[in-house]
Amino acid sequence: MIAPFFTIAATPLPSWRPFIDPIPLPGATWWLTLIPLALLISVVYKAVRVRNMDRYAPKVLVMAGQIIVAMLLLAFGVHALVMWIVPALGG
Amino acid sequence: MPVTRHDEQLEPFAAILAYVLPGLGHLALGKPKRAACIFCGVMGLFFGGLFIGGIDAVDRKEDFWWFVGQAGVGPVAFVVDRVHQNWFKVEDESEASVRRSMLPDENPRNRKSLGHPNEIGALYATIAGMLNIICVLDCLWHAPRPRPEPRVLHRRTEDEGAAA
Repeated sequence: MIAPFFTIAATPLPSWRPFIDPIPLPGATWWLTLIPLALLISVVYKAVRVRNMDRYAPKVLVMAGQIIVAMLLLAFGVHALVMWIVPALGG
Repeated sequence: MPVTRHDEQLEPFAAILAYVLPGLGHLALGKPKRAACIFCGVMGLFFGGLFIGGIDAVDRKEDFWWFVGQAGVGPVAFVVDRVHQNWFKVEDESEASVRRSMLPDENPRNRKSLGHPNEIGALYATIAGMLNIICVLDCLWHAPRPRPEPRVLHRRTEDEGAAA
């Protein structure tokens, strides 16, 4: 049973090629991808939403910051619920 | 002056252009700065998704509901899916007319995207599509926005008046 697994694992894979292979995200760094995600969402949304393009960049940065802070608060809330509140209720 | 519903104009041609290439609709409506921001944002998200999740993040067959959102980006999403289906997948011998990802022992042309990179890549590309749909709708029911030039002229006049 173990031999086929080792055969597969031993198959040589090419090194990472951007846009073809998934990026090798080390450990728990995946959540950092939230920052460019929030920034790019704000870039597009504010381009449609604002009445004129004066002070466009600060508005984008404020919205991106709001998204990131909201997601961090949400993450902290869920963490508190799962790690502290539910175990406390469970006794 | 506030923009009312009476100011809105139906612009189907601009909406079609906005779907063909993100930002092109706003460019046709004479908003080059908005068009550039939309193009950079939508394409940045879509190709950012490919950068994180690999080409496997866009897959019409295996991740259909993700692709429904990704299709909002326009023809680019369909081209990427076509490339993925035809160049990176193989015919499944067990089922006719079904293409599947290559297994690790078949010398695959790409690595299968799994876990967080796959989820985040698909999410990036899907949000790009959904945002572009907002841009298409903005072009379709286009409300002319006030241009900054008249306000600057008006302010100058006030300054001149105060100086006088």
